[in-house]
Amino acid sequence: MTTETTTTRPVGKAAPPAASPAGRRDLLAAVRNKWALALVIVLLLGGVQISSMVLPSFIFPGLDQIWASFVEILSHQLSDIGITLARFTVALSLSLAAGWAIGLAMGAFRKTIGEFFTPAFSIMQAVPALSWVLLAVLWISDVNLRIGFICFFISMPLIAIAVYEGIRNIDPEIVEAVDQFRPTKLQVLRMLLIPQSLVYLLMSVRSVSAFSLRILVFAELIAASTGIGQRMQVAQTNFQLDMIFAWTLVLIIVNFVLVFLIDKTEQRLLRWRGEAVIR
Amino acid sequence: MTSIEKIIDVQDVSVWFGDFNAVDHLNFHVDVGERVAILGRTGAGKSTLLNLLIGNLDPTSGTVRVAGKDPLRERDELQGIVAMAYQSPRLLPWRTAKANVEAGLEILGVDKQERSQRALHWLRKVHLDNAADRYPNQLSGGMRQRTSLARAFAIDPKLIFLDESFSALDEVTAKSLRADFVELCESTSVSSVIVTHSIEEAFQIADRVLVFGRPARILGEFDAAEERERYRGRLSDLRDHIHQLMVAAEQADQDGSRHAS
Repeated sequence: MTTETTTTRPVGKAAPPAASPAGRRDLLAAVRNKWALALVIVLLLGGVQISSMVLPSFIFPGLDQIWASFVEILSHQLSDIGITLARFTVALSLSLAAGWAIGLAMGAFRKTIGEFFTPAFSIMQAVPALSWVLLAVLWISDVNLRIGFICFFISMPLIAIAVYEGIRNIDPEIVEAVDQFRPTKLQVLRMLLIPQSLVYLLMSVRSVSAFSLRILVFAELIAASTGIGQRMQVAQTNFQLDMIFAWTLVLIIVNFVLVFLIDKTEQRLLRWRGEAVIR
Repeated sequence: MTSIEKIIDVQDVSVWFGDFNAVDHLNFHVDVGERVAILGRTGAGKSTLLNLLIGNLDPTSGTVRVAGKDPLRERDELQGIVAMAYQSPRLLPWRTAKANVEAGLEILGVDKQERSQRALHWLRKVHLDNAADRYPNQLSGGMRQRTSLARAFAIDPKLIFLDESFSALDEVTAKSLRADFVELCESTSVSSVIVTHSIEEAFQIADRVLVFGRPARILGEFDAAEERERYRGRLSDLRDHIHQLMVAAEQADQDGSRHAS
């Protein structure tokens, strides 16, 4: 009796020692990534500082002014960050839930629901973001609902289509292997479709979340009286470029936190894909 | 089930795909507890036969009975009776080895505690008890195929189909898995149909070997134990003998079609 040995190391366990080739590669990649990020930040800061020295401060503020505005935001305007993040969380959660459910239904019933929603979503995706914003302003009086509406109708189709594509890409051999046991539709959904769609759902969240945040801030700029977008609009009206830079910095930080959270969620939920895929 | 002596009964079955004859007036049966190998070259209609037996295909003429049921029209009644292991393991990548073995049991509605015990029991039987919590991408090809076998056996079926299940493995691993398979079959009295193109595999695993020609029809039927005894230590002679049988049948077919035209 020959018992084979594993070809890859266990997932979900401690990372291998840096001395192993895979461990050393991971470590080198992490160091390289951090160095690249540090280099980009230094170049950006340097670029801003040099520009501020060359151009008038009302066109390009210096790092000290931007930092002061950033501190001002953290001291007195945190509530606007909170409002934007709350709107973003609610809108993205609703988009995710609805997009996942519709995508699953499209995959499970391709001939009916799938064929109906595919062109519907194509049309929705062709509608410019500005049209959604203007329509929301005219149709909906409640500000939060208005912002939510814009984000939902822009993000949800992207998620639903990604989930649908994921289900269409399911390996027919795996389906056949499960089908040999004569499962019910519900069992197929639980054992096959949901886990398969999860990969595509998380992949779509990665791109949709950053996009949604940008759209949400844009919508706040036009259609809200609170939130980061609205604050940026005020700063623009008052020609406070330092404030605009500071709010941009806030958004960049929020994006980084988002990416970090998505990475962690992926590592947890998709650990079966192996270390080589999850970064 | 107790009244059924033949777990598979194929009577005068033909399958035509347009003008192409895939199965030609095929008759054979598999007794309860018997292991029968279907041996044939590529294109001998082995997969078509398997599709008939698992209820994916309707014969153009003739009847197919599996455990006394029509596998196509009474498909659901064969739930828990029939299981299959494929050429590739076809494991669910998001499930651990243990959860993969539990898959069939879960579908059959076995409660969580029992299915966990049964999965571990079958993983032990295929020597994978220490790999229960690993995902398929952490297992070698042989380990994945063992998991696939454990998944098939775990539902305690009356009949198991193997579709070239060991052909993608290296010779040493394949040999070890074949031996394990025979041991598992004998310990459970499960019947099995092993579809293969490997002469050695057919005679190592089966009680009876059916050699198929093109289109699918039986060219020869062998008692595997007798042949193993007769060709002891001379596997190449047995291989030559079966090969000659296939080539002669093909030659006769070609001559026949020349005369007809």
